[in-house]
Amino acid sequence: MGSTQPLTPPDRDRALARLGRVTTGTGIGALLAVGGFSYVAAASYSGKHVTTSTVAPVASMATPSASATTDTATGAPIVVPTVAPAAAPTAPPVAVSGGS
Amino acid sequence: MNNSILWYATRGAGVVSLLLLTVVVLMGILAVLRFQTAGWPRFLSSALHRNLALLSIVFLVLHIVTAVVDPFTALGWNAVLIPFMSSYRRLWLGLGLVSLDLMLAIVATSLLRRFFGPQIWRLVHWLTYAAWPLALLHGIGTGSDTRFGWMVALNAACIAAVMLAIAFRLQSRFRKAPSRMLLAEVINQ
Repeated sequence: MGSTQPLTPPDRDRALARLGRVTTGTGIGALLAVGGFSYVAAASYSGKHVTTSTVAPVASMATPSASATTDTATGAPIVVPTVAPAAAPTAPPVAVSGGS
Repeated sequence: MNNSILWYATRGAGVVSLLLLTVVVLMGILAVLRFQTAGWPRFLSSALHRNLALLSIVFLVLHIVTAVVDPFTALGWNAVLIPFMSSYRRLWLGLGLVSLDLMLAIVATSLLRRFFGPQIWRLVHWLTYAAWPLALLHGIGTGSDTRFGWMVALNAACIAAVMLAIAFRLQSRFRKAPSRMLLAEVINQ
């Protein structure tokens, strides 16, 4: 395939210059490709968005209003006031990434 | 710096490393063609093969460094120096590290070829056939983009290209074999 004539020094110099240009071009192209693929990766999957919370278990907050019960001795209703739960502190959303 | 940027860069550099490695493997497999033209003498193909191999190592280092400094993974340097030491996705990261070690062995023996001799160099160079699929498996196993169409297409294209090149090389070897045998018979007579 192709010629098999020996290279002259100027031909060799030109070939080496071509090699340098191809290598440099590939390197720059690869660097740009890293940016491009990073962008595509971010657009495809930017990570899970989870919200963590320190709210007490649901069962303990089932009765936010006053609850009523009956005194077994008098039969009179006893109103047991319950305190509304304070605003539960919520942690800021955390972006979770993973893998490569 | 936003942690996610490191994660995106890790993924981008990983994809580019795989593509470069695939091109290097293809050039190595198709070296049997001995391609040359007036403007592209044969030695340029082997020189470009070497340069792109070194370039793929550079982008592999970028891939690894961005993964290690990403605080989410908390890999630590031990995990990227010793295979299967990571507590995070041990198997898949381990495969990637084995692939990296094989590639470093190939590059080292190529750069120091005069000290090792051609036989050892050739023997170590055959490890490429293990390093490339290990790198691919690493990407498929732990890559965050594996399930997306563009990454599926890229992986499929890489696999198809290497399979075709191997088939072509094997075919050209089988085609040459009878003529070699014939030549040997002529010489023996």
